[in-house]
Amino acid sequence: MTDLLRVEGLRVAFGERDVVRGVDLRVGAGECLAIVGESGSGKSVTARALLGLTGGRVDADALALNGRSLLGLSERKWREIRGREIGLISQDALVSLDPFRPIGREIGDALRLHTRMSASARRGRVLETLAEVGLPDPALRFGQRSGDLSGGQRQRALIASAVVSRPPLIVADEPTTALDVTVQAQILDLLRSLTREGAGLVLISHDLAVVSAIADRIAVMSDGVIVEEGPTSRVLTSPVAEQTRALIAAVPFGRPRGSRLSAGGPAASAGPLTAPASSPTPALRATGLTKTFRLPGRDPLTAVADVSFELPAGTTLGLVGESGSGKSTTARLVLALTTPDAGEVQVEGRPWSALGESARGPHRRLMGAIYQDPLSSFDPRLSVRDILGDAIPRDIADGRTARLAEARRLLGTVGLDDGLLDRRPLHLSGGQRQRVSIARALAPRPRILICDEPVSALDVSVQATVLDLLDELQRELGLSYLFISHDLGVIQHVSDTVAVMEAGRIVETGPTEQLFREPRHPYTRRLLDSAPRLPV
Amino acid sequence: MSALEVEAVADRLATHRSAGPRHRFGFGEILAALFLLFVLVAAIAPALLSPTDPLAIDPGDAFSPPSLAQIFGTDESGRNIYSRVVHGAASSLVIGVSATVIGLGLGVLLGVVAGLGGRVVDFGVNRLLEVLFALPGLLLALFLIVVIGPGVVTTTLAVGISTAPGYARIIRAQLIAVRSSAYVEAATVQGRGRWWILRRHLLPNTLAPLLALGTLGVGQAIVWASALSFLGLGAVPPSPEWGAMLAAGRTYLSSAWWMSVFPGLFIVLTAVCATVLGRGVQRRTRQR
Repeated sequence: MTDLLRVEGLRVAFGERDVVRGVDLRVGAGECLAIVGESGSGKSVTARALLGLTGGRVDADALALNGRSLLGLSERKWREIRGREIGLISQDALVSLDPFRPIGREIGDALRLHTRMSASARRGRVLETLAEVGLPDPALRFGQRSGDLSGGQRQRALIASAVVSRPPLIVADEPTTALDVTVQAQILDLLRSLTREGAGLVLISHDLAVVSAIADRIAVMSDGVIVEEGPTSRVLTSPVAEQTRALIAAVPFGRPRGSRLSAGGPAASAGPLTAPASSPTPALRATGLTKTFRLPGRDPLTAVADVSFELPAGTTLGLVGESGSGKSTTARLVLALTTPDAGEVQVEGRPWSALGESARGPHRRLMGAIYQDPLSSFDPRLSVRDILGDAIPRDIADGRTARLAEARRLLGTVGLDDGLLDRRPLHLSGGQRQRVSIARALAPRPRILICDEPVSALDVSVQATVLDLLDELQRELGLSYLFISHDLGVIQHVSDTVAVMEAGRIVETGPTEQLFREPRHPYTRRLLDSAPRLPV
Repeated sequence: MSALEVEAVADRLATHRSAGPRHRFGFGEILAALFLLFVLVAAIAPALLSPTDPLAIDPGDAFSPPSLAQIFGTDESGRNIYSRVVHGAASSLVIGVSATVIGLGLGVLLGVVAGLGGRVVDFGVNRLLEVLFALPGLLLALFLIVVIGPGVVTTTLAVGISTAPGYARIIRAQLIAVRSSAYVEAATVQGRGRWWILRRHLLPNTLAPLLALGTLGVGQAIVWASALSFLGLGAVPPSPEWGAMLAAGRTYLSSAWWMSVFPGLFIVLTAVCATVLGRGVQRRTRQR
């Protein structure tokens, strides 16, 4: 088989920093090569270098598409290649599509630039492509703007724009990371069908489970080099490189509760959780919670409808559902940031949502919160020292030195160096930020943590370390977690009990193992079928 | 442009931006700072820069053009224009700064009341601001002077009051953005009260842009105050005020251009320099 894409000794440097240091790649027609690695491993830069989009210094021994060298092309020549010879699908369809133009025109651009097709022929081809990528009612979609489409539809439109001129090679950079699992499964199916039609696909991802379903070969990148490459089944079943093993171990799906996902630290700390069900009253009880939003000019939206659950002390309740299912509104109701229209939240058997804010205030320290986007949950002016200092109550540490010592202790608890004390959150990595946010939540010594998608913005490998940390903290401090996520793998790994939410209602709830083994509700089954997992 | 092209351009811009150094003062900013320093010294200690009396008349030396001895020339009474410009700096600067302080103070008050006062108060303040916005600022100032009567104090007050609605809008918007931010929510979850949140998060994050706004505002206030003096509603003629000097020279513009040009130049330069410096401050505070 002749190679569609041949890359030898690719090097990319920004200033003094070598980001990609000698990468070799080969992709044949109809083949899918997945490049997998942690953030900062150089995988995205590699992908962009294939399209001449990196900036910085790019250098290679060979970079050829269909035998034609792409080295040293002028920007004009590159523009002819992009879109016609190589299509790019990027992660964020929202920013990649012009919000003011109909998507039909946006998609047709590639044809307008690269072919001599007439306007009506272009329109025909765009409609055809829209149907191929599975957008219902292409004629209607053609005239809509990206804001009128849902996340999944937008991603489909973006894929359509990449494939409309039938490029022989497609580069997809984390094409499903922002999507719900069911949508993700559909997009992966779509990508697979493109390779069946003969396109070569380079798929970039940080998540081995996602790519394992469609990749023919996997290349694992770390620190700018490929540390392992081979057929998918071989790489997954008998990984050679340490980094590959770490990536496989980091996938939480099907990993029992309490087993460690990240390397290092004490191994599998304590086996099954010794449930300290010392207290018979549940940490948290919600009964018949209902919340309806009335916006002017729109139909009232019932975000949460008759939701009831119980969180036994010292355990984790996983709340899973897709975006818009009402998970986050439930979290806000539990945190008493918004008042329910009906129903009640009780904390440790005492009224909570029914109290006025002044009566609740002193008890708020019982409950901490961790958010999906820690950065926005920090005041941008404040340093880590101030953020933690603000969160430490007077009776735990009073005075400057005592507070500082307590802040250091908290950083130690979440495994951070106290050299970070004077940094601002903006200058921390994603994993560090989430650790600081956990430290802040722990500062008043709460008994309950509300975790709203705490690892969704993180890489699989960083996610593994944060999940391990949360697990350790639960054991040590006897915390109860309400853990909200759209990711079934994460939910299965962390939860004792799982509640599945759809359209504002809890459709199924049960012990984790049972629910994953014998899902009863069709929605649960659909979620489970869509979840990416490693073939065992 | 297709999505791909957009990305190519954005990539290039990003590399460009990260390449440049961040906290360097531009040549323009240094020039602006030097000029404002000159005006400041002139305002505080005019005798240092111009030993001659700005009010001393010398009818025999009227209308003499700029020369080495009298670099800005003399006016219809033979008064030294350079000396008058230097001595006029004080009143222009005092009016400009105090008007800005009044405007900002009122703006903060209205903005905070609107941003924190709940729906009814917010509605009321907003409608009031809209009414004030409907009138051009200078017209509003004129109206106030007509009501209170002309004079330096009135001019200052009028300019301050007419700039307040703009500041109030900005502060209200900023306050509302900060109030709905995730970090204020996080503080609520920690059990912090309203006053603590106000003091720790809302006020500092809302008022931080004020320094930049204020610097920008001084330039505008000086122009407005001069405009009012020019119309004869501000400083009274014999006292050296830039706007008033501009007006006095207008009659002789064809024969003695220097009488209007130099005070006018100072008004323009002061306003421009304050704006250049204000933008610089704004850029720096945003970068953090």
